[in-house]
Amino acid sequence: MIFAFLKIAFRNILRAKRRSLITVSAVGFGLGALIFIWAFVDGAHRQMVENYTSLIAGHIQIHKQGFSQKEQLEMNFSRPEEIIAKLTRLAQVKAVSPRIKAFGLVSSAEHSSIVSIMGIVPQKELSVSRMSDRVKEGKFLEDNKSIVIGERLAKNLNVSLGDKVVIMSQALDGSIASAAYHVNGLLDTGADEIDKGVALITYTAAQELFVMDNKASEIAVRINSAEDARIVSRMIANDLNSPDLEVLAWQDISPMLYQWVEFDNGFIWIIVLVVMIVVAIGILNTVLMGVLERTHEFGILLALGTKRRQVISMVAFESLILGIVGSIAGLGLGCVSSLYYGKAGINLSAFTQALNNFYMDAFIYPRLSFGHVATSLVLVLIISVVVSLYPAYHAANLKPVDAIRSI
Amino acid sequence: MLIKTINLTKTYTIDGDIQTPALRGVDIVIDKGEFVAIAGPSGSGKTSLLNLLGALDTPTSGSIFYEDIDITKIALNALSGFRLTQIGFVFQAYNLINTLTALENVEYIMLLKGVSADIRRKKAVDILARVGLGDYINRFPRHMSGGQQQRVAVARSIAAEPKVVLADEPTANLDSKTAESLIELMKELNAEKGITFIFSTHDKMVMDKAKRLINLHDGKVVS
Amino acid sequence: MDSSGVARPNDHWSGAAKLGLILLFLLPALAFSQASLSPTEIVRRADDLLRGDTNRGTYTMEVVTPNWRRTLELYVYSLGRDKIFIRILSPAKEAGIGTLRVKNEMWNYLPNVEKTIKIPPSMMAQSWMGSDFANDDLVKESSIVNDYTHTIAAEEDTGDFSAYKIELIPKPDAAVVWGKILFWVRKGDYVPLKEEYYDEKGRLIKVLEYSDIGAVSDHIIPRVWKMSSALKDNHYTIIKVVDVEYNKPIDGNVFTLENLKKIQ
Repeated sequence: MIFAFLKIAFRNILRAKRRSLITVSAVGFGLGALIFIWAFVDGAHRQMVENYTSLIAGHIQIHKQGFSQKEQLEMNFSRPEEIIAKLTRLAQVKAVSPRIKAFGLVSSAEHSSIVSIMGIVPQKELSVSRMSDRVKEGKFLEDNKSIVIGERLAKNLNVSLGDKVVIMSQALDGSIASAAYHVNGLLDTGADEIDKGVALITYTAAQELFVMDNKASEIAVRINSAEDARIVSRMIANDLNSPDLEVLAWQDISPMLYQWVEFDNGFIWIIVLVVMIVVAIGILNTVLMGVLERTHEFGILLALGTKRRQVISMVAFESLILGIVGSIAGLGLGCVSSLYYGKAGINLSAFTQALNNFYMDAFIYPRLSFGHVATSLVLVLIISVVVSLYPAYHAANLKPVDAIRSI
Repeated sequence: MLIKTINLTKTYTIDGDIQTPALRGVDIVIDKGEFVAIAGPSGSGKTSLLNLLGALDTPTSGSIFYEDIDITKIALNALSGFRLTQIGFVFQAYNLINTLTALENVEYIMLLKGVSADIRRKKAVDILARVGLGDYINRFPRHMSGGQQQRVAVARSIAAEPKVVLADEPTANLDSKTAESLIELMKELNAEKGITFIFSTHDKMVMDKAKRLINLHDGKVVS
Repeated sequence: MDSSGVARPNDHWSGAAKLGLILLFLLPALAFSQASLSPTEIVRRADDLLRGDTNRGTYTMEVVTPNWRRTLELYVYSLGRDKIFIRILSPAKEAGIGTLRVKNEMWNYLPNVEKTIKIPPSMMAQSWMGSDFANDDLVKESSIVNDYTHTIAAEEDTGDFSAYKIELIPKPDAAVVWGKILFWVRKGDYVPLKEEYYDEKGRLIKVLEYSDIGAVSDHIIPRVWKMSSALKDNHYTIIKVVDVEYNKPIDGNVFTLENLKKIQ
């Protein structure tokens, strides 16, 4: 019997081709736009997280407990290689790199600036972060006398490649740490705080400078998927099982970025709401018009003995079919456009400056997420049925005597 | 006795307070197998009476008995089931569901009754053949003439084997020749299947075809 | 009064004599009143006492933190309120490191890299060589005299000494980080005893305690200065005056960048 009502619903849709087409377009365009926007936002987020984590932070960082509150040389841990050995045994862990982090005064002949000094192992760092890709001039770290600094810092210090700079700080034992390095490369990351405030030297050089034998400030970890950072960080914490160590996922390392992503994820629901309203109005319009036009016919149906709930389902089916057809169109539109731009990228180079501050590139690559596509689809289908309830209810409650009289 | 009305009245309230009586105490008895025309000028209460007999409307006062059931006592929600099983309807015009073919229109009523697909198909084909539309079963209403549509309506009305078929001016929109043949068809079916037909009309020719005539005037039976 | 007496030679003698007599009686009182200088003057004298017009000599600086403890031996030249030159003598790792401060500018010299580093103004509040003394503490210029208004909050008797407790409140437009300083100065000879530094919320940040008062060359001064952090436990720096001469002329060439780079 349901099949018959479906058939009637389907034929009613075909009967009002023009109107149905408009509705299907509204639903299709709405869903397509929603899928695309969501993919765009997901893509942008992925890029932000990827850029942020690959720039320096890594997906997960391990420190001495309290380092994140108080970033000091004293906040270090011994025998990093033992932790590294444990980490590399985890399947989710792709790469690991130990670091020494300290603050110090970096000086040229003319100027000085307080910067964050990072001692890194160049080879290991290559697979954890993309710092080396961001070397705009010169080369990445080579020997223990080389230093790589931000381009802006170089400008502030008025130094260029090959020039000598001096780092002055305090070593772990309290003694004055000072050493000279040759500028081997200039970083251009787009992130001001890095370009202005970071100096990279080798791990060995940093160990020597800061008297940090067999100690590290940080182990940066790259895992298979940034999304799993929280889970993997918990696994690592369990594995290391040391109250002296803190294991932070990128969400904890950059709460600002995480909150931005979360804010965006919340904000997208406003877009969802708007699209749902458009879809709802589109479907409501068609179905309500269709019902009002067919008052006489509903009168006949009711007079013949059709039950009210049967009338309701007839109208709801109509709406659902419009929703389904529109959704298929929207699914196609959204997925194809997302996939296409996912390859080609969306050129936003006009906003490079602003984007850089959010760790985004000039090109954004939308990325479909099954969950978000499914959510959009289900929402559109639900809304298409929900919205038909009013016209359906109206049709079902017509008085046959009055309805038949109206032609 | 199939149908019996006792002191049936129907008063419409127009614009909130103007009371317009349509039926002023109608007592009629119709037996099984009758072929009855309800006649009278426009406004005499024909349609009101048919609506009440068809359980599409509720009377202001009085009773309607189908055999020994007073349908004025049946809850509104249950009336759709009553109509479905007991009554066939033919309306003035545009009787059919536009999105269904002739065959599907006839099948629809059986579908509601839960008749299985192959039985209702066979039956619908037979009935349509009987009303002379064997070649038109897959046509949609818009591709049929008014007379053909009314024949489909008649076919539909008898498809579920009701006790009575109520037809409110079934010929009103037809030319006289077509009207005559439709009434002839109904009369044949009445004879063949013993289904009771009650129809309203103000057409002299149609009245003449009736086996019995109930004349309404100002909401009262006059003869 | 005094001037009017002198300026009017034709006055009646008896008048002048009377005036002279009055002056004569007043003199001891004036002399005595020297003991109760204005609070500002007390601060100036206490500040001068440690510094002299010039001073040069050896100090030690012991820095204690929860993680390490170390002692630096320093040779210091100081001229007036705005020039200081410090050379680290030991330990070996830091020997030769020099600091020169002239007015608001400051340089460090690092012999291992043969480089002079100018300390940016933003670092003036930072620790000097890891101690509890800030770069700014090396040369206070006339800050504690000129940048604050001084009032005597109390006169205290600690048992060993009678002292003025002077409250220093920064002047509205003074560029200082402190909200308040309490300064205890010994009565009579203006030997500084203790300084407490408060931030603008009234929180005690660090305490400078002077002790071991005794003779260094011709000065009677506290020979041990202990700066301790009120916020961090077990974090303090003790400067000891080992062998210092005061008020001997110092060649102005000492306070030059050329000299900073010259290591004997």
